[in-house]
Amino acid sequence: MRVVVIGSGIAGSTCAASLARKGSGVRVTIACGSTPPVYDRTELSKKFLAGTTDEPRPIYTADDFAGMQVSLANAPVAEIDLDRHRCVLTTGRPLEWDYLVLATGSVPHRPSMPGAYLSGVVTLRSRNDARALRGALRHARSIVIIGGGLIGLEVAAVARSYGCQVSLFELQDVLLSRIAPEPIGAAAQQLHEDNGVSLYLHTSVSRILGDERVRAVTTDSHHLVPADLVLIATGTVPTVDLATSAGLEVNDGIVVDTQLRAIGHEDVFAVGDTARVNHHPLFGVSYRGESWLNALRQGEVAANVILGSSEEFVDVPWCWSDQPGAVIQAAGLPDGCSDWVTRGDPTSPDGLAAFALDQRCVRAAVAIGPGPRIGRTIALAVRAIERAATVDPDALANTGIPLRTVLARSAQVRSGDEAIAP
Amino acid sequence: VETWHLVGREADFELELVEEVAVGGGTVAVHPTPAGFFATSAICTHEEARLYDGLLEGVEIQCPRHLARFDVRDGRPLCAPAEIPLRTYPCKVIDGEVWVWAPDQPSS
Repeated sequence: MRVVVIGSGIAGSTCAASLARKGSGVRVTIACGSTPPVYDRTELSKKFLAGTTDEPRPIYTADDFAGMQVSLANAPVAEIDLDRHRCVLTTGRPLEWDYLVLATGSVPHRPSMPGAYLSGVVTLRSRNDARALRGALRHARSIVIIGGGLIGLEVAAVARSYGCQVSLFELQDVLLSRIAPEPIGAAAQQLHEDNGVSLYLHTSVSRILGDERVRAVTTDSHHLVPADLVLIATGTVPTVDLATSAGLEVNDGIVVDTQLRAIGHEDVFAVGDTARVNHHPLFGVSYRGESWLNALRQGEVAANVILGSSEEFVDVPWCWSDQPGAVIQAAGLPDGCSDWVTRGDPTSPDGLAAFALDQRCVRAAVAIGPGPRIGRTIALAVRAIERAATVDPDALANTGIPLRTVLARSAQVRSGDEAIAP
Repeated sequence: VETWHLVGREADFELELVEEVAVGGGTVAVHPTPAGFFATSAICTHEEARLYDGLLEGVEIQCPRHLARFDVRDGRPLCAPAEIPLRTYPCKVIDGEVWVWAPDQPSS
């Protein structure tokens, strides 16, 4: 069996490695423009940027792939021919496959504003991006960050540690609005303001000014903020060009079923940032993940399915952010939930947690706190989401009752035992 | 030199609630599981995080930081990002007391 994996990020390399380890007689080729090592990208915006580590942790080296007998075609794919089961590299070399896995990842979104391509205006995605930003931070006096999500906040914290003046712009009224309700965003705001970050909420940058190099930004509220550097951190766009040209169904990601098969194609898979699962079984909505864990798990599941498993991707989305002085974790999908229940406070070891409820059913949880202990809360929440457990909102908000007890009680309700009093 | 250390009374531990105990100048994680007591190194082998902050379910401890899971009986990692096993220490309950076999001096 011949499998071609396009892309060598964590999704593609995990898929290739799983196929090589678990399958027999599987010939795996990774096709991508960059050469190994595959490194841990989650470190790029954290300790690699902060300079506490010289190189990000390698996950697979070229030797690892050689040892697993995974071939590397070190050239990008120019074209996919679904009918003839082959792709063609930019060098003209054809690669034939029985199964194709698209793990083409995503690229940072770049808003089309004047000055977006001036020197000193950067995004953060690859190791080279991170290395360049790290070098620039050592000399910059000031940085403007556009976007108050996890990447924007992580870089804000690191930039402060270099002594930079940091101004962060967020279009919404509150930070982390994509994943968290207001109290969590407010806790993050407090933390970053205490750390000396100037936050501009409900404000958009309208122009980036400079001649060759960036000098300042102007806002829609007519502020002028000087900047030696501008980081755009406004989300990612899935890389779907090859899939689109090949005629695969694309809708902000390559559309796949719960086994990660491209719609209408038994032998074509998409995994990681670039894949949009058309119907997540636990949440009933379509879903495109952007986290490291999502990419890793989808790579594993696609490999298992190719090897004949009936496994489906049913993981609860889960992401983390380690920031100096704070840890944030989020799990689940809050789509369609209007009610959030909060528990605790951001300075206690268990932190401040918020749970999104849909008819008392836990659908998502976010926590912020001083250390990784908040992970325990999220881990318990994930298990409740997996069980579709219903909970008593008052008990959930009451830190006097251990969370494990609150969620264990909820399991009884589901099994038809005595209902919890409202 | 290794020796048995008394780390507490069985009744003081709560089932599936990992504890961190001082042993010979170092620390060890003690896991009260449905399959009995087990002791492992206290820090995740992936990055510095205390397993004390993690979630113990059955015989699996999950690191709170990056969600690696380990089998506390033999320390083996069960999923990424961990690749290196936890160190395990013999652990036994005698007359309601929990004992851990560990070095007398702290080790790194």
